Amino acid sequence: MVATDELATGAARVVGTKAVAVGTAESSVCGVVPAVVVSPEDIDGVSETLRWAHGRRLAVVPAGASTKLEWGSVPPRIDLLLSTRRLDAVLEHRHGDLTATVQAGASLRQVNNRLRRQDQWLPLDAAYPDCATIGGIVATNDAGPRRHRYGAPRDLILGVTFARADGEVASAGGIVVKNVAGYDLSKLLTGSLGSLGVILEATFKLTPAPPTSRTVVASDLESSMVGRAVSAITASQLTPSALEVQGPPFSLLARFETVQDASERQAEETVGLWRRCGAEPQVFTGAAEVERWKAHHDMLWCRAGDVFRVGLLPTDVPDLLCRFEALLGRHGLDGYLAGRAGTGVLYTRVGTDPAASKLVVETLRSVLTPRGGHVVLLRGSPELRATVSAWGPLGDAAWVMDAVKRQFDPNAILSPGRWPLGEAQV
Amino acid sequence: METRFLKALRAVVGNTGIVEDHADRLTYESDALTYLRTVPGVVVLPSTVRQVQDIVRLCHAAGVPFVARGHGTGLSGGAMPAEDGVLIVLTRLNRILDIDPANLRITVQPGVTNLDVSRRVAPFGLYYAPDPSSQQVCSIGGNVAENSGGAHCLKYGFTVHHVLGLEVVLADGTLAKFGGPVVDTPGFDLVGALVGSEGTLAIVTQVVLRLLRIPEEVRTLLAAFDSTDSAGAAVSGIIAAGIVPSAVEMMDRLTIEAVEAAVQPNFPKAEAVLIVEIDGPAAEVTDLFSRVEAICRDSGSSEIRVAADIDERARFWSGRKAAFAAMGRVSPHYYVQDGVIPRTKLPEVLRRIRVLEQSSGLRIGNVFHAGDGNLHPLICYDASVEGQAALAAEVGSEILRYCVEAGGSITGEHGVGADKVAHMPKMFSEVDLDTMQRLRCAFDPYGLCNPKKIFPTPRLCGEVPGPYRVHPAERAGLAERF
Ligand SMILES: Cc1cc2nc3c(=O)[nH]c(=O)nc-3n(C[C@H](O)[C@H](O)[C@H](O)COP(=O)(O)OP(=O)(O)OC[C@H]3O[C@@H](n4cnc5c(N)ncnc54)[C@H](O)[C@@H]3O)c2cc1C
Repeated sequence: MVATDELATGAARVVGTKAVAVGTAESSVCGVVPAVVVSPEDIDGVSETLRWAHGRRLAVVPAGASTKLEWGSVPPRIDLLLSTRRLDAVLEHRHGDLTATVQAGASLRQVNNRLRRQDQWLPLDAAYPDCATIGGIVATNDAGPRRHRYGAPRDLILGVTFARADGEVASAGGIVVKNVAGYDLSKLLTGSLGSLGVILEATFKLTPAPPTSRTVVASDLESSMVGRAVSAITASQLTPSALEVQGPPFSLLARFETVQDASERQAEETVGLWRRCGAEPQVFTGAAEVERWKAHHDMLWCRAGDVFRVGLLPTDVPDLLCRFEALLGRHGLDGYLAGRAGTGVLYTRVGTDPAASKLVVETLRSVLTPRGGHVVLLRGSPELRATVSAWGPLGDAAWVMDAVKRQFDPNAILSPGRWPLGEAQV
Repeated sequence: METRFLKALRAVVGNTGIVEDHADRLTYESDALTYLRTVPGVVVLPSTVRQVQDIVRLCHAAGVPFVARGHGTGLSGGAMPAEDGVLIVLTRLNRILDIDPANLRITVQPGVTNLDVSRRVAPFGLYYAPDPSSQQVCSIGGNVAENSGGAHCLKYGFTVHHVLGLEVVLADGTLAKFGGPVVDTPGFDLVGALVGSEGTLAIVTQVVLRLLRIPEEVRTLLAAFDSTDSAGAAVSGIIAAGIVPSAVEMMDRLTIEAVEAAVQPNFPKAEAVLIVEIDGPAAEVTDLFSRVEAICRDSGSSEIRVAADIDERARFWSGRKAAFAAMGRVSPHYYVQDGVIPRTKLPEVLRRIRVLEQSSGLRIGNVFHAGDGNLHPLICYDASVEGQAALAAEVGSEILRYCVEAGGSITGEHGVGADKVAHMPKMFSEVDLDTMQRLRCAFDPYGLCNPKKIFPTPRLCGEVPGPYRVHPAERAGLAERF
């Protein structure tokens, strides 16, 4: 262990005193307080910091707005929290090409405000969109409800520039929408939780901003009705941009974002389909619709509780809803679930009692693992983390991941412990 | 090749699964880029995944390079055999393993033909979106390796956006699964890293694909223009209006002449034609299509034809899809280039290509995925005229330079393969290339899997010092540790 003041002085020598602060409770990650927080003002600063840290084998955790730093496993020790916040420029918006290149520290909100000037946007509605940074969204591959139509960050990213563990700056991909030259490392870095490199810039494919939007909401559904109502949509010609379930009690939300006539008609058709399933749907638009979606976001992300991400086949969703509801009932637990009914990604939020959370995770894992599904811990106390694996079984891909990690980060300095196999070392 | 090695291979695949005779091996010396040729040491045609594993294990043990080959339609020499190496042909792994219409998934072996996927799921009202012009003959394994695209990728994305899971044989013969029918499997996105890696990381033995529902409505128009500039302006106009068609294709006069001679699609005589297709819910298509028509007219289109029915639409597309092959009607030989530019640079780069055409004396046809900015200049030459083949290659390189200078790429869909290795430094720094090859070192430290492709200088992998090394005995247990 290197003493904090020694680290602070060392870092200051590399990037200047203004870019260095001593870690505090505010900058802690699930109880782990970083020794030093470094916020370089440019790419060179990031690169130099890493070069210095690499030689000393310091534990470096790249961070944006720090909204998702505890997703997955938590690093046992943080020498440097390397913040990209000051790299926050929208470098180029090539609106005629429907692409944009932005720096990692720019917030999604900031980027989309800029793109809206040309009626375009990056159709990601990641958690905490007001502050979450592009770098963090890419590093977590976090996508919200609109993933149903537009995909996740890994589907929209065209190119990346990142700093390697040894400080060298590398790029892969490009700025054009179509390109197969070389390995697409942007996909590899997406979702790597800062364990393969520090993302500095990313280029994305954009979408024209939809002119109108309608959301159909069906409330108080039995879990079996949810299944029928979801298949009614996926078996139809409807093209929702989002198809979400939430509850219990369960509701479904289907959003249509296109030209006026088409969003109206599709909403009407959805109302008809869902009535036939026994629901009494309502259509939202304008401010009420925006409010409805904000509540959908906040209900999951802005309340206390342990949060898990559940991956499963879309057809397994109704069964999972049923089991989740029964589990809560049987043990008298308070819990909530929301997510992509058509894609097969759900998020569960339960209380903060580690024993209860462990029970929920283990029950869901026992059902889903044999069916190819998984449960990953996003938010949870150190007590919970001590008793359950954040990732669950990884299968035979783990050994290739281990080899990749060792190639990109031979000294194991980047987010040690945060990526799946790292957990085994903790 | 060593007789003992050949004998071991024969024991794996049997006499019907091996090609040893020199004359027969010649059939496999190249892919569709026929000027890059190497006769393979031996050709094997495994019919089970187990056989693929055993073949690779033998190669690994003997230090013999191996190359996967699908249906050999690649256009960058990606499947060109390694000298004294084993060519592993995957055509016999051609079964559809599972169709799951409710979850919009299908699981196939790599030798299944692209179009067969759509054919098999059509009864469920589904299809597989990436549609390379070679879709009747190319394999899903080849598509995965090349991250193949097609005319309809503008709206729906490329192969990488439609592959959910892979089963692969690693360079030492072990089998591994990445991703699967469920999205977001924990850990690195190795599917994303493998798609487009041109067979240099592993051999794909199973693929889980995402299917789409056949759209409610499809409308197609063909618009004629008196210059490629005004056709390009129409493309920009469409994008600027916030419309993303499912396809926007452009062909210039020379290409139109060639396809008229070959398949008679009855295209208007013009300097350029655009094919624009819009699909989706009926109400959306009606609205967007009328706006596209207006934009084409405002950009100076001299004639707009709207496909009245499926047959007419098929005729429009037959003209486009036949374009490469049709060049044979107007030139004894031609070289298909593949480069990308930001679509706004279309007029500028096309003008440079026109100037090059005049200065080189070689005719250049242009057919391209205009919506994506993916150019396919067809460089005409006559190999019997001394120096013309070399000149054509030079012209091809020059066009790639224009693409890179415009901010684009040296390949949009055909891959780097063996053909464009020397062009990689135009796009990437030494550090970039070294970093990419770290991925290769992780997968294939001995460089046996499709060597000498993509990268101009191979990276020595060495042994990477790591603080933590998993003992093989630990391997089996750890996955179940919790
Ligand atoms: C007329 C014509 C039109 C074309 N149009 C298009 C187009 O519109 N869009 C487009 O993208 N391409 C197009 N192509 C190029 C080509 O069809 C594609 O690259 C296709 O994906 C190659 O498939 P294949 O089965 O023929 O692969 P092959 O040529 O056999 O191999 C291609 C590469 O894939 C690797 N490979 C093959 N199978 C496997 C496997 N199972 N595991 C690992 N690696 C493997 C090989 O090693 C090689 O590097 C066209 C080609 C022709 C001849």
